[in-house]
Amino acid sequence: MLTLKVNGRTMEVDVEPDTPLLWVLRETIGLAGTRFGCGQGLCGACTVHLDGVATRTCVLPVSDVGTAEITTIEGLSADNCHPVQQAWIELDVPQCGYCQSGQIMAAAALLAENPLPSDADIDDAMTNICRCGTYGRIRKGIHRAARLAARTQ
Amino acid sequence: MSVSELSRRRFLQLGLGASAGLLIGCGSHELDPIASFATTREEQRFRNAWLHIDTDGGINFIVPSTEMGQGVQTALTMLVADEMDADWSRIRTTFAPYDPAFDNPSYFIQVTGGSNSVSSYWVKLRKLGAAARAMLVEAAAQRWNVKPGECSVANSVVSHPSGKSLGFGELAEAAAQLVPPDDPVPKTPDRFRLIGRPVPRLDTPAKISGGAIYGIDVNLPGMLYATVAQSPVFGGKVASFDKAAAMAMPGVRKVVALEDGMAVVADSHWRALKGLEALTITFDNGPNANRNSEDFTRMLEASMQKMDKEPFPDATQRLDVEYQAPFLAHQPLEPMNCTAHVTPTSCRLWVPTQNLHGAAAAAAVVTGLPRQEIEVNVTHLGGGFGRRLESDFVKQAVTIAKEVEQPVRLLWTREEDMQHDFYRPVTRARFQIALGADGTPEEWHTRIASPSSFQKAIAENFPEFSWLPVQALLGDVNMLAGLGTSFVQSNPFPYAVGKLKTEDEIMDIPVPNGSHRSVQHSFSGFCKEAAIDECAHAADQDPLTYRRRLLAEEPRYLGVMDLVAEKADWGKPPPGRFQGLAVHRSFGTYVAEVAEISFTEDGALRIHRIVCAVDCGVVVNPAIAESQVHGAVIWGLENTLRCEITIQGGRVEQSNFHDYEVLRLHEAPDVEVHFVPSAEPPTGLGEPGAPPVAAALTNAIFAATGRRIRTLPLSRHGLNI
Ligand code: FES
Ligand code: FES
Repeated sequence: MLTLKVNGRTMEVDVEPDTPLLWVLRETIGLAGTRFGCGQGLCGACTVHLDGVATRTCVLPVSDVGTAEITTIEGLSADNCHPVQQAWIELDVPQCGYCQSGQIMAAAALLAENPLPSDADIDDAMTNICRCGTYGRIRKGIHRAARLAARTQ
Repeated sequence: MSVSELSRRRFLQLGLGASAGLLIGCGSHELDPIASFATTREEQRFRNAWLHIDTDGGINFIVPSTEMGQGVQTALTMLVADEMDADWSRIRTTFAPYDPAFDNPSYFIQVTGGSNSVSSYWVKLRKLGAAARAMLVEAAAQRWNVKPGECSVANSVVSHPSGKSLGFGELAEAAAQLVPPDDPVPKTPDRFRLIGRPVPRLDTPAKISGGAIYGIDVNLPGMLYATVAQSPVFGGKVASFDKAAAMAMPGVRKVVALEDGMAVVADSHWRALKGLEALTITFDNGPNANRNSEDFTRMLEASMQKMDKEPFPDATQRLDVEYQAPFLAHQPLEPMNCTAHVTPTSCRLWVPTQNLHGAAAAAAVVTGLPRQEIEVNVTHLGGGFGRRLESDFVKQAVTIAKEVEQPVRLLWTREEDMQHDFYRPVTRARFQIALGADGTPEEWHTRIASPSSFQKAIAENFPEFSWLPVQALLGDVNMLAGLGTSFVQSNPFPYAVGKLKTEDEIMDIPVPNGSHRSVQHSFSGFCKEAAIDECAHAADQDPLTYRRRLLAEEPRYLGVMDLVAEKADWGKPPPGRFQGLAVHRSFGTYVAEVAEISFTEDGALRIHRIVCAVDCGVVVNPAIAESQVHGAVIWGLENTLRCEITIQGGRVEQSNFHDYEVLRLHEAPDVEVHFVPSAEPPTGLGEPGAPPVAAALTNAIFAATGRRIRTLPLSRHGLNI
């Protein structure tokens, strides 16, 4: 049995310790919003926050999570009210949407660390793949979210 | 199961079972009369149930196409809602399950592809909305004893100048008793309230909360998990396997032999993967184990040699040039998957597919059940791009599900997905062109060679017609797209050249191929537009002026070229920057693009912006339209720059995103999309942005360096961003 802290709740899971956190979240805990794209840490579809840091979970054995607080897309906000989600709504960023949980989690982590990122900062931080080519709107969305967040503070 | 039971079950599947109100629909073909159904005749009404107006005013629209990011869920709903003058906030949508009532009107099967959802439903769905509106107005007019023509509708409320008003919900049951109009008349464009506006997408909220359900998210009680290993060499088979070690792994329930691979079923995806790792499989590589990309190129080059040895001896100027583009993979971000539950008498599927007909056909072959009895539920698609027109993974899922009692979800690894795609085929073309004294082409001879997937597509979607040698009779329908004049080409070669001659050869290359976003237009848009640029330079003329002259009779081509020239400042790039132009029509839509580039001091390519001008007729939703063209440009760029599938030893060399390097955010240039105002019926948008990109870029590279790139990708020529 391993103890995990997910979206503010503590839970016990009974899985092989080498199971990647991604599959524990999706199948054991039932939080399917974190998605699988490559399984090799290359695409970012599986990004969640570990103590606030954007982390790719398809290559993270659940036994390595330790006491870190896990936040998934489901725990980012109760009703799409996080500034990144608000900006994403304003700009209608998603196309197929499959990458967007990961994109949003990566963007939210970036803004938490750097509230007013430049284009170069966005280039460095946003390495997730989007096969639909929503990159232009993701970039605009992050700038917009930065302004929305500044306004609510 | 009786037909009525089946209908009833499907009806419930749509979430309509418990509701009262007006249910209205139309058959799958354009000319079928609109028919409505009173709520009492429950078994009959499913067949045509497209639109339901509940007594509480809620509206449910069954979206006949699958949503893969292209925005049809929103765009098609807009067509109906605009005609109804409905309250947009009261509309819910459901994805249509497999049923002939939802056949694509242009293809006569239930499939989403070819960028035609909006264009093929443009009239039909507006008529559906207009019929609903007319019946609701009629119901109100009868209630008030006034003429229908005196009533107006806004936001789901019918009003009369006397001050009376009733909501759609209050009118639904009365409207259900009426006979629908024979030929409902859709609005004239001046009365559109939604069409033409950037209405927010209906799917955005669920796609940013993590709540949208993709195939991979399907979760059924007791469901098992499967994953596969397929013969890495195309055409290979399983020679032998030893399952003892796999079966001893925790949670593994079953090992299943497939046509060309093995599946492991377990109680979690990770355990299935570990089980597969423990499985010993020996493959018989079959006849293709020594084939490689270099062979294929040699075959294509040999085909090109079948053209005239000494064409046009008397021409003022001659061009004789060859172009080639490689195999490309689709790689939608959601790997192939399908959930199936099979019993001796039933087969239920939950699958992200563009092709419900093909999925049902595949399941029918495996189970022996009639196709009509296969239940296919479609989820959101984590990308499609043509990959999900194929049903290979559905066939596997059903084969596996037959072996277990529980429902089972098959999910491929990215590696399987990369190595068992249906690739954009490697293609080579040769142009022999004679230029006259004024520089215009007097003769234009084209030869093109490529493998084809046409026969396979027919055999798989219509197993009953697999004996028909369609390809032998018709050739390949895609190969000459944009280059030829044959009756199967919806997009003829556009330039006014003296004499156009084309030849094509279908090559026998043992690598699966299929429709890849814009299909063969991705190649013809490249080679045609680069070759015409070569002609312009040979004639010492500006590439825009040159094209304008040869397209003088084509107002829509001129329209997009003039718009892109204006928006991109054609001919006046900033200092140190260079421009390239390309224009191509595909899926009915005209797109001109200008690439603006420069080179850094150490020789790296910088793409500053891609400016696009698009004529797709009426733009139903400009925000979605922009996203589609923009996304297609990014797609076209990665395929121009460096993406390439190569074959060694009969197998794909690439395996994941580290060696199939799709474009990432920091590399994506600015893309500007402009639309030509138009009242013409809408045409395609998901694909037409892609074909011009490669030539716009290589033409800009020529303008900058004098180097003409005729084979893709650019990384092969030392050109990198
Ligand atoms: S699925 Fe984890 S990075 Fe791609
Ligand atoms: S929106 Fe489709 S992969 Fe990003």
